[in-house]
Amino acid sequence: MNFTKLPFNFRRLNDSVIISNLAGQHQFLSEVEFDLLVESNYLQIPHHILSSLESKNFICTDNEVEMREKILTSKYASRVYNSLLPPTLFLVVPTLRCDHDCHYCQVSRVSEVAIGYDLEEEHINNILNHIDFLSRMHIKIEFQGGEPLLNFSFVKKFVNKAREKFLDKKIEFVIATALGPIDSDKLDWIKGNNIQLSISLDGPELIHNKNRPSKKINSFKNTIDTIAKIQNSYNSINISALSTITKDSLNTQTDIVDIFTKLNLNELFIRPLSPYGFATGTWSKLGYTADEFMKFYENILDYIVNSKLNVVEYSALLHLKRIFSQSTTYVDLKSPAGIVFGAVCFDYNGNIFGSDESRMLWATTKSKELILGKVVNPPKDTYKNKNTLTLLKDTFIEVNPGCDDCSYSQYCGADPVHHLSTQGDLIGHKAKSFFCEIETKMFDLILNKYYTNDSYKKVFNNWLSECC
Amino acid sequence: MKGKILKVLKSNIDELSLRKSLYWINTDCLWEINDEKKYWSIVLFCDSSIAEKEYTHLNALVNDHILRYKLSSSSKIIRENIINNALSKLALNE
Repeated sequence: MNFTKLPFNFRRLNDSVIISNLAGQHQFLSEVEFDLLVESNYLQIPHHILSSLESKNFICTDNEVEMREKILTSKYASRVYNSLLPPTLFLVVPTLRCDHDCHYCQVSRVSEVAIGYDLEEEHINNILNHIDFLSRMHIKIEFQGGEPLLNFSFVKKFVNKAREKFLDKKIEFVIATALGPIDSDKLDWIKGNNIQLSISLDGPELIHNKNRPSKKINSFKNTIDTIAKIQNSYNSINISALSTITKDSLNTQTDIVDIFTKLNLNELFIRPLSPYGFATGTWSKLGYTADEFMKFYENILDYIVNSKLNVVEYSALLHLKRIFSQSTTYVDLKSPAGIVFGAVCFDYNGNIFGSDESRMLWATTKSKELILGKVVNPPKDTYKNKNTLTLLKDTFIEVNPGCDDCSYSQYCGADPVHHLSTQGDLIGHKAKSFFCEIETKMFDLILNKYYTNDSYKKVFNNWLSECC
Repeated sequence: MKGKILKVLKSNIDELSLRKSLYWINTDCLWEINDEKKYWSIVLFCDSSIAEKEYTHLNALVNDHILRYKLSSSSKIIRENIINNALSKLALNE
């Protein structure tokens, strides 16, 4: 049997090897199978593995090389094209004011009573013109803060005007809120306008209140009471909850999952700290190594899977979707980076950024290069400028140092703003990159569990089929 | 500080692949590559607490890059064709 090997990258995982190619296909092999493949010992490779390698374009018969090259070219071109489609996610910051004092606040919020930190209502039409210029049929508008509910009149006017303007488009609205200022009037309006809520729930009361203190309220109690109120009286409001993990959280083991299940929240999103805003100053107190985070995270997944809990962990799901369905919706895992193509952010001061992380980094550095333009500028002059191209041009990870040989380069992202924040350049040295370490370990964990543990495989397949 | 030396046959690996291996070595270590007649000679200088671990790490990295070098000798041109043709295709679409 004579085969030609087509190009692929490989990575060793314990006693197995994962190989992947430019089409985004992958194959899990034992070390023995991998060695046989490298040595072209095809007769000794089990037949079903050989067939899989052939069908996934890792090998082909000698007379098929030209045809396979065309197939791979087409699949790769399609993957790049999909990464360059216009954004669907638009972030609007009605205010930077907040009623919480979170120690890891990535947006560098200001006090609830500070003046000059609200987005003027006169900018609503300008922002909608930018969204109209950039968007296709489906638009997701997410109000971020500060605490967006502190400028609720802006949110209401924005939603009404957006609905009037985008009659022919499908719009989803999300308010990212810590739930401090929420009351029945606001909930009535949120329910009536089919708005989703994205909230934070960091774990047991002690941890949540330590991470997310408020001078006015017991944040944990307010959050769980509001969730219960919504479930009892406003059950059509969709709530998704995010848990940011700090050093203290690592000792809580699986308590966070128990809190979610007790509250009947079946979507959990575990997120490591990001080095922006106040988190850069508090990292030594709140931060951890990638290994410490991954040990905690594996524990959480083990608990969900082994206890057969009806909970979907979204961070794992986003990685699974990237691997198995080539999804490009998660802005952190995009190549080229998700700057503009993943999301566009309209800040409280009228600045436009190519990602939420860019506005977070601008808040502490005031680096003008991160600003794509102003909402008062015409959209057509805003997005093909020098700053956008500078931020994007080095973010094709297939050619980035440290990424070009990696088996996960087809699934991972570049995250230039993370590397700008932590290392001072857009590419970053990957051997020192927290982003690279976390993402590599995430893909290692997910693929290893999927291919070596039947319970995991079943759960992951359920998540993929139910949540795609 | 005394360096540990790793010698690799030049016919097994090119300089670029060797440098790609060294990219992942602990950044607290120093290294140099010497171009000898038949061998690449890598001298690794690390603090004694991590010297053994990093030397083992370097061995593993170099071995994997020897494999990559071997694999790419047959597939490098196909890979370049795929990327070039895909990008041309996208440029033409625009």
